[in-house]
Amino acid sequence: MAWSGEPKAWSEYKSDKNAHYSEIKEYDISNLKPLVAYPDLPSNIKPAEELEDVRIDQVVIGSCTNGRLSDLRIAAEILRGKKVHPDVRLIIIPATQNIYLEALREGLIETFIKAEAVVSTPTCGPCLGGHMGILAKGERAVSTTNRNFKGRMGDPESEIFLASPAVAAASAIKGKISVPEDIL
Amino acid sequence: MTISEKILLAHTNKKEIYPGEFILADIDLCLGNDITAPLAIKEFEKLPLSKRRIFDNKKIALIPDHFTPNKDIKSAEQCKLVREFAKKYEIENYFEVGRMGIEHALLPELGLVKPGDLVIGADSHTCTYGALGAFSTGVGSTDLAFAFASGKCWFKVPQTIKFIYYGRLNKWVSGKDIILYTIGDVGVSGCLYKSMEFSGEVIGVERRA
Repeated sequence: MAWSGEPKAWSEYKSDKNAHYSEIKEYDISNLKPLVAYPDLPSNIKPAEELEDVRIDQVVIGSCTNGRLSDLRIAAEILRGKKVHPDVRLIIIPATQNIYLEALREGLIETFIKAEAVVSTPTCGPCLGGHMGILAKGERAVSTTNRNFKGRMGDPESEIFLASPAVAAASAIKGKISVPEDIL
Repeated sequence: MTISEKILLAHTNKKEIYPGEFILADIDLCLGNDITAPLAIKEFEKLPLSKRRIFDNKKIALIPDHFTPNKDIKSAEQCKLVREFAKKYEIENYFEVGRMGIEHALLPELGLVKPGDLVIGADSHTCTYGALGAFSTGVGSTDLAFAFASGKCWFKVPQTIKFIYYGRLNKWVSGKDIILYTIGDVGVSGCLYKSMEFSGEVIGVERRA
C-alpha cells in the first residue's frame, strides 16, 4: 500500500494579522519535561520523573495519536537490546499497514519482538477498551493513547496514565513509570 | 479572519461569516468507522427513495478500525453492514482489513485529506486533520447520514483560540508532552466548541497530529 501519489490541488489558508481570537495563549516550552497524565483526566499532568514507584501492568504504544513511524522509532531507540519488565505486557500497534511495513524494513519490529513486546495489526483496540489489551480490576497501564477516563481501557477500577512513546517504552522496561534517562 | 473561518467560508455560498453563526457547508470528505458508520447507514436507509442517493462515492471514507479484525460476533455484524453498504453504493474509500489503518493516520497517509479541506467524521478524533491545515471535526452519526446524501453539514462557526509555543524542546520531549501540557493548562473542557490554532517553530505536522 502506497501513497496514492496523485497530485491534488489544495488551498493553503493563513490567519489574517487582524484575525479575532477569543483568547491567545503563549507558552515557553524550553524547560518542558516529559509529562504523564494520571487517572482519570488528560489534564491531570505531572512531570514523569516526579511519579515515583507507580507500578504498572501494561503499556500500550500506538493509536491515532502515537502510532506513527516516528513514534515507533523513538520506542525502538529505548527498547533496543533491552527486555520488557517481567510484570509488564507491552503492546505496540503501528497505526497503518504502511507504517507497519516501514517499521519492519527498518528493523523496529525485530527490536520490539526481541524486547518481548507484542506487535498488533493496526486497530484502535485497547484505546477504547475494545480489544487487544483490556485491563482487569486494579490493573494499571501507561498508554500513548489520548484519553484516560475511568474504565476507558477496561474495568472501571483499572487506571490509565497517558504519556509519550519515550516515557511508555522506558516504563515498560522498568515496570514502573520512568523516564528514558532511567534506562539509557 | 482566522484559518478556520476562511475554510468554512470557502465551503459556503456566503460572502462573509462570523463566529456564532449557523451555516450549511459543503463537505470534502465524510468519515465513518465500524462503530459509527452502522448507525449512519441505518439512518441513511430510512431516507425516502428519491433522496436515498450518495452525494459522491469518492468523498466518503469508511474505515472499520475500532474492533477489527472482528473481536466478536457483534463487531463482525457491524463490519459486515459497513462492507455491504460500501459495495452497494460503490464507496471508493472503503478499507478492508489488510488495507485498513487507524482512520486518522490512514487518510493523511493516502493523501485523502489536504490543506483547506472541510472534513467531518463520526469520531471525536476527526479534528486530527487540523494538523494538515484542514478544518475537521467530529459529528454524530445522524449528521453523517445526512452528509452521505447531501454532501453538506451544518456548523456553528466556532471562535478560535490561538496557541503560540516558544523555545526548543529538550531531548525526549515530544508533541505528546506539548499537548498534555496545554490540556493541563486549559483543562479538558477548555476549548469546547472552539477551534484551536497552533503556531510556533516547534509545531511541525507530526507534532500537530
